[in-house]
Amino acid sequence: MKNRYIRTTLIVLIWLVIWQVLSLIVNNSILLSGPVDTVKALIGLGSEASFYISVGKTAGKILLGFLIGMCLGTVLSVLSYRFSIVKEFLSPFVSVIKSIPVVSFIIIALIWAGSSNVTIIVASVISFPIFYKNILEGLSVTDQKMLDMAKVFDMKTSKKIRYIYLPSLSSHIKSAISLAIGMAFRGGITAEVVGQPLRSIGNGLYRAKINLATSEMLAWTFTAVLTAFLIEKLISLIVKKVLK
Amino acid sequence: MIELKNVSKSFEGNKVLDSFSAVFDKGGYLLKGPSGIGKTTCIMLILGLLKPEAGEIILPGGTRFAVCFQENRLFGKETVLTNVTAVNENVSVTDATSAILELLPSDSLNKKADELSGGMKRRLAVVRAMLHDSDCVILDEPLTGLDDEARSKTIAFIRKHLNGRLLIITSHDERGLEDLQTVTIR
Repeated sequence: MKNRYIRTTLIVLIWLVIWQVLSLIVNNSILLSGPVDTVKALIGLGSEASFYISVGKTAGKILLGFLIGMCLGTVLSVLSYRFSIVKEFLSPFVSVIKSIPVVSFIIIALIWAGSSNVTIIVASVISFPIFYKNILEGLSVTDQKMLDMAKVFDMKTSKKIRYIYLPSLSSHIKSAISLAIGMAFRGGITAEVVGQPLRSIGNGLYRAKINLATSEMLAWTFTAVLTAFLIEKLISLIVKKVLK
Repeated sequence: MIELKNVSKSFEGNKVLDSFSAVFDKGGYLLKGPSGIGKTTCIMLILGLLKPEAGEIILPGGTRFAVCFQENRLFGKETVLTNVTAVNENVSVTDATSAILELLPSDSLNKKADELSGGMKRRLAVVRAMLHDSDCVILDEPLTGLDDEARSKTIAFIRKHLNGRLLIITSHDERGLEDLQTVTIR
């Protein structure tokens, strides 16, 4: 275990050195800013209160959108599992949602709901089909023999969920969370870059781009990746406790 | 009383039960027949988990069953105690514990069902079924994989906890079950 950490740290360090060397060779901070400049930019951003407000607002909106997508996906997948007519009815809708480019959603959301809500809408639209598909798949592979057993023993629905459905869904829920949170962050921040809501990570990225401040742009990108990572870990931890 | 009238059932063109009739009235019944003849199919039909192609199954409305399936069907990731209490909400933890301890060693109580040996899983499935509030207990090969001592203890446990309910049991080995009425599938 210890060796694994040392190896991972070494690999990361080597990549940072490669990045720094490349930036020195290019010798143009607009084209390629090095890790040292990026860290400096990050420290600069971190010294302002507005940075934390931006991160908090973006993370909060994406998380809200993610939760809306998760709830909607869960409820509709359960209904589709119970009633085949619902599944048939939703099938084209889910297929269309999955294949529409994110930027189209962003434009539609901007027209309908304005820039302040675009992040929430895009994050939920991205998360919804992932949860819908994964949970429906998990439900459809639930052991029929265990369900028959529950029927004979007249188990309550709550107990069936706790002892039969959740263990069967566990891996599907975990992979949906991991996939959806990453995609919701990517889509949500793209929406912010297009929609320009004030005090947001996307707005920070956009301003960095206008000012040709590449190191600042990379610092915002690093912040977005780190925030998505931490939120995914937090949600996974909660899910792990619930599904224990 | 449970009655099967000229019941037929086939799987993928193979007729497993062909116009089979039987009456399970009161007391205990040993459902006999060679392996693969359709004993489990008969049980699934009684439980309503399979539908007959022909014939009818007559049983009083609201008949409550307790069953020990051939494949146990336990909650593998849950403890022995939870396996019993999860389907027997009106059985207290104390009663469930003392019933489990009649057939399983005390260190098994908090073990996960997946960690038990085949014989222990079998006995756990029997405990779970016998404690269930029901009108009819159905045990499909409950003694499979048990040594002589465990077999005798399990039979004694079944008799002790039957409390006058209708019992239908399938077993290849009739030892200890000679007093039961027999229904043979041919």
